[in-house]
Amino acid sequence: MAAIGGDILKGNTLTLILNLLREQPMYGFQIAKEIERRTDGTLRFREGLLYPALHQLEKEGLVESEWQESDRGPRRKYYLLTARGRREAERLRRRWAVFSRAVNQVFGGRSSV
Amino acid sequence: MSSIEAYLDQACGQLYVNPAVATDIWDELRGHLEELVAWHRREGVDEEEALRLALAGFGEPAKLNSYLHMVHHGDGLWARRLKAMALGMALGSLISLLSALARQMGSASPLLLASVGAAGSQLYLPIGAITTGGLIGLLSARRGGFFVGWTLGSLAWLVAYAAVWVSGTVSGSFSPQESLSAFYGVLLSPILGGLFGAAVSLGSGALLSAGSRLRPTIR
Repeated sequence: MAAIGGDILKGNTLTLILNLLREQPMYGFQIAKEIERRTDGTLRFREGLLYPALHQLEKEGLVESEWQESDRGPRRKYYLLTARGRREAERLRRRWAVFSRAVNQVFGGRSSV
Repeated sequence: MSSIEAYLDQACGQLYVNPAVATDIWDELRGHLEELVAWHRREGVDEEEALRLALAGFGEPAKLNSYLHMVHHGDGLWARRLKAMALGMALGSLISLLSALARQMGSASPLLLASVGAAGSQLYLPIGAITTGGLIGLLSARRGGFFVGWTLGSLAWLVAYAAVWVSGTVSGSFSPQESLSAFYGVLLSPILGGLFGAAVSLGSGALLSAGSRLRPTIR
């Protein structure tokens, strides 16, 4: 399947990041590769552009970060959800469920006009 | 300089954040790029190709820079404003000094007097030049650049000289030479004030970007 990037992904980047971080703290490279792995490469984006999004989330108090040493290379900056971030992740997840159900209804429905 | 550092120089340049934050951003992006290179290497490509793929996959450095700038814009704004104000006041002091020297030269031409701001009261001129320089620095610290500084400087110079010329001429307290130099000051405000303002604006921009530029951490 061809990779999806650009504007479709951009609008949902925060939903993806926050909901991945619900599971465990992650660092940037890990977030990018995890999204790619779980979608079999369908969702792929310019990985550098992840950082402005992460920094923005941190400024808004939705995530916190901490540096951790790594025995496999340079130190890594891990991001973890704050309580507010957890609530926001849940809100965005519900919103996405409503949206995707609605889109599927449009695709699967028959015209009665 | 490695191609990763050249990329980061472009992606992280001109961010006005404090040095600790700057180093954090630099280290974070560099760590990701290094892991990306290693990841491509494990996929079986050679070092050079791995580096090329990593940089291409990271995105346009200019675009990343503009996004980082958007997020971190204003982080160090007040420090930047204060430095720009100090530079403007220093330039204003220099003009005052040149003005005082020009006055010592009794035979100086009105044009020379106007070009160094030596028209009007000896007391008001240093205060005016220093205050104006500081204000230009303060106002141009956020946006900076030649045109912002040039416009602010021209307007300030025009208003100051027009006030000096009108008040000195109407009250009759000016000698013909002083009146002429004040008149020249009004006419030359787009050049003299503009250059003054642009120097403050561009000078503070250069000074600040040199002071807060992202620095790599040497490991």
